[in-house]
Amino acid sequence: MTDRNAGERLPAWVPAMWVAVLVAALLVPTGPAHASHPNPSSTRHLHNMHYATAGSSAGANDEQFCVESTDTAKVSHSSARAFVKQTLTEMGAGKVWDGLGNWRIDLWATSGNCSSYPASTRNTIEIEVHYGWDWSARCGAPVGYYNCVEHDNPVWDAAQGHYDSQWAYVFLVFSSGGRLDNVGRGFINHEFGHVFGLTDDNGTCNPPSLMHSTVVGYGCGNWTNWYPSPSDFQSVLNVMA
Amino acid sequence: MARHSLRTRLLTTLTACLTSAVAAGAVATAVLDRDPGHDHGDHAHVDTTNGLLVTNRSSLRMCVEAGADADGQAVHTDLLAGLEQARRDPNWTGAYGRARFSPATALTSGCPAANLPDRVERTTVAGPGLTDDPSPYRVWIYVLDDAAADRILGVGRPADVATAELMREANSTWPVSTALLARRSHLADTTAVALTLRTALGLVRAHQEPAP
Repeated sequence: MTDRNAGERLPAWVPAMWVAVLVAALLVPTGPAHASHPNPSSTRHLHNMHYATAGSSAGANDEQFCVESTDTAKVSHSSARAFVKQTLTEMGAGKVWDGLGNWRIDLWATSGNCSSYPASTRNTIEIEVHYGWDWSARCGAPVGYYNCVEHDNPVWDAAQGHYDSQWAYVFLVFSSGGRLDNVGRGFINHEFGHVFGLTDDNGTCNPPSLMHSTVVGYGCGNWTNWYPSPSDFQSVLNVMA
Repeated sequence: MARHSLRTRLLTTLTACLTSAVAAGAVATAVLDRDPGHDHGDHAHVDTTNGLLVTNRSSLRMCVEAGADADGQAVHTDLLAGLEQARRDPNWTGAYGRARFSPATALTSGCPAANLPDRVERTTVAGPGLTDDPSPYRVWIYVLDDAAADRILGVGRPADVATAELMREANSTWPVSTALLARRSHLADTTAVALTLRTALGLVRAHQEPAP
């Protein structure tokens, strides 16, 4: 079969348009690559992690945390508190945030759940951990899926020359971060990484990190433990400095 | 009229569609990017190096929800007196020294998406909450009559602060605007207003009372 119109020319504007598209594609700058983890430039972190108070009880520069469950039939306040406390402070050296930076991170669990305290006392508690079925109003859709961290009350830190947060809230969903097993431990440590200024940096797998690990739903399989990696600890030390 | 091959017609139609799409996209972008309420048009990012907290603000501005029955001018006068005293805080220069500030433009009547909570407690959000397009207002001031103050703040409590707007970056959210909820009678005490404003501006920590 022959083409009766073989050899006819396209209107001039047609190839010109494709050339313009090609040129535009070459000239438009690409977005910056994901910043490699760790991210020492992050200043979105809890204020008290810069400072320490010596003593055998929670001091003004330590990090107190309370725990609250929205469904105590699913997980009671006390069992949630015991699990968070164990994960953060009792799992052994190299596996807990507690004690990092010569005790500039010094975590203390309160004896009661968060809402049991009057406002003025609750204001002295730096971190609140909330267990629930759904935090999409705070963490984004879909319903019941995401865990997240929300910083609150930014305060000028004259010594550091930046704003950091007086308080931080960790929201855990029962389906993942709110589980009382090693999956839950992984999410607790990941979210506390956000409290202490770490970013996810998903897509950049080196160095190994809990912040972008498959353990917490990200794509990097080179750190499969529920506790922070050595580079995570170093990253938080960098933020403290 | 010359007849064209199917291939030529397809290529011409495809190119015409592409041209139309590019033109429509350019027009939509030009229209949607206009935002006269902001200092400049760049996409905002969290910026913790100064008190304005986001990159799309260059001046310190606050919006005021004074209520329908309130004397708006008197409210502004009281707030400006407190703000003048708050600016003597030793942290002011570090936190807001680079920001533009003018008493004449610092306060705006009405907030863009006022949202009073039923009651203020630790994790309350009093404003639009999560956004990727923060307002020009660093502080959102809600002036409450006694009945509303008793209900929202608690009986007899003069004032409190909460988050008004937050931005999400790297899977954590950071407050970029603070709500200040104040009982109307509280505004008559300039020193007390100054302390409340210093808290809302992040110059001092929120009130703390150690457990007994």
